[in-house]
Amino acid sequence: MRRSPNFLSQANMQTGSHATSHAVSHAPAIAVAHGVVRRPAVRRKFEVFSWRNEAILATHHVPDDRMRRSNLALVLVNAGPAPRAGNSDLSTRIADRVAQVGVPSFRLDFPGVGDSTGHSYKRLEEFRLAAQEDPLDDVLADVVEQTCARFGIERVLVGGLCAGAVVSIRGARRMGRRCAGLVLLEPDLLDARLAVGGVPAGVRVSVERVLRGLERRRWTSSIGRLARRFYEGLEHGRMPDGISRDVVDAWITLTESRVPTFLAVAEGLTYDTLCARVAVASGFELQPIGARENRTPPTGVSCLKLTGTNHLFTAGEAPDRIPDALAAWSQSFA
Amino acid sequence: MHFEPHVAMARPLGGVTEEFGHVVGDDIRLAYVHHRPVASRDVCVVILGPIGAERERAYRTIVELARSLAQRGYEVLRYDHRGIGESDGDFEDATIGLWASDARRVVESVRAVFSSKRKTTFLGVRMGALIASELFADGFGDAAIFLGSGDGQTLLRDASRRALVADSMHGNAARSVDDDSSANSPNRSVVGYSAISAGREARVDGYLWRPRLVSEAAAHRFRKPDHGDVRPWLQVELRGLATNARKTLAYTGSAPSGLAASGSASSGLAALGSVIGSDRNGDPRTSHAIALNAPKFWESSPQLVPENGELFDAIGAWCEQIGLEEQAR
Repeated sequence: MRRSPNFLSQANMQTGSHATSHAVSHAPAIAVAHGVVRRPAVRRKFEVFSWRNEAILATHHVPDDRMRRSNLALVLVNAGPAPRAGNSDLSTRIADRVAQVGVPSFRLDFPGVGDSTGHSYKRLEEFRLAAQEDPLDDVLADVVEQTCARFGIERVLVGGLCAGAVVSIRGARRMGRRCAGLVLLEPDLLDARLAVGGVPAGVRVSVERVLRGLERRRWTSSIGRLARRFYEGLEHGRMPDGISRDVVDAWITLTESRVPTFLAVAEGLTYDTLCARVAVASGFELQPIGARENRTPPTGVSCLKLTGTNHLFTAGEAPDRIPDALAAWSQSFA
Repeated sequence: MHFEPHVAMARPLGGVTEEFGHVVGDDIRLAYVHHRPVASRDVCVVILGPIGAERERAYRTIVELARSLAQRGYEVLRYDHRGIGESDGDFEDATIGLWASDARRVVESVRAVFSSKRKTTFLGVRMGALIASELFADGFGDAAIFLGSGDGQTLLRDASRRALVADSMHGNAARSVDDDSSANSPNRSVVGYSAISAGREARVDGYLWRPRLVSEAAAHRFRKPDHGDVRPWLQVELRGLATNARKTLAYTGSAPSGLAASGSASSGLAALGSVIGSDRNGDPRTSHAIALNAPKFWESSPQLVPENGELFDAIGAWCEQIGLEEQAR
């Protein structure tokens, strides 16, 4: 048993200015020996950023020293109640996998979530509202600037699951050229004020809500699917009601400004159908992607549809496929 | 194992510092958080948390609990089990035995670091409670609080049942990873706990459960401390939110139990007194259990962080009692 001389003292504690020093070389990202895939090791380090009076905790996934130094980083944010590791550690898996291809990755806790300071969100609706209305986008943009300054990073991919995707879109709008791409995992495009009853829902909103409800339930999903297709036929080309227009408009603006998006959705569920309708209404194409590596810089919206999974991607093949596909997508920026 | 601190942040409230880093062993790096009060008391609390989806749901509550204890002057250390959250390692390779072995090494390191004069108190939640009970029964620690009392297989069965219900409701039932016939079908085969325990792999709450995790769990039973054990321990049963918020008390064992009222003028003890009512006639070092009508914060609920002030007060007061006892000695 060895006691670190640093424990219970502050010596050698990182305060932010000397976190990484990658050797510049070109070691292969993945080595295959005797049929076993060996991926480069990734070290995890903790970082503290500040925003106003709050301390923001983040985990830094540092790529192997032999990897080529990347001036691009991935920043993932909370989906809501789950700490920065994500639901079922999905964010950790993604960050590990992306760092394995040489892109440093950061996962951060918003104020009031996980290990960060701040007033805790008591209910899910509170966080959903905050994601759409509170200055969480300011937190993200500010932490991204601090990250870039601290680690010599030029551009970032920002993203998250559900409400985290919403904050990422809003944050990316503030970042300008700093944002190289968006990572949207089941983005919560529905207006949170409607969900919490803050504003009255119209007829179309109510109809769409019922259809979504039917489709989500196992026993009524086929009826719901048919009803939705019929409804969408009538609605073709119209933006769905009940969505957060501010968020969707920001996404459209970013896409038109050539900020590429990695979009992952659970096929047949709420955000698959919503994203498809938003894409039709705004005139951009959802390009299907697989898990294979793509060596050209991505453009537009690359969409990964996963069957047999749920909104949190905790079922089926999602926990494996999303990190692989996202790593390939991130690598193509190099 | 040794501690490798990375960063520390000063909390604006109460001046408690939080230090983040890894506790490093030969084969593993476990993420820890050390809550350091300005003026530290003689009790050090080691929090052993739950696993999987329960960890996510309980996380913020445990953070708040740790902060609340640190503000009362206790050193608090919490860490993630191997393969979960911020710690390294693969969940697929983990077993309860491995988690318990890691916990043992962490506790030994904590004792070495915090000085052996400080009393080590375990605070176990769900899977952490099971592991804490094993350590405590083997003579580790000076006191223990258990939130939950399930055996290994009970806890795993609980988790798989909840995941199965949630997935079935949404048409995404967990399936065996080696069930190729269902790989492309929207109606995948449902894998219940019996199938998992019969040797099939499955994804539960996003984690890949290997048969070894379940078979090995049979060897881990919650080891409730002996009533003859002179070390203090407290078993807290959270009954969930009831419409009738009246506090109830349930004792385990036949011996009269409770906390001594003597020397208990502090507000913390007063809070605990309200929980245990007027039955404060036992030996403070006698084993006992309490039940609270407080939410099970590790379960799925619309409330992200339930109101747990009463629970925090009860645990803080209990720790305070241990400290008073030590001073009296």
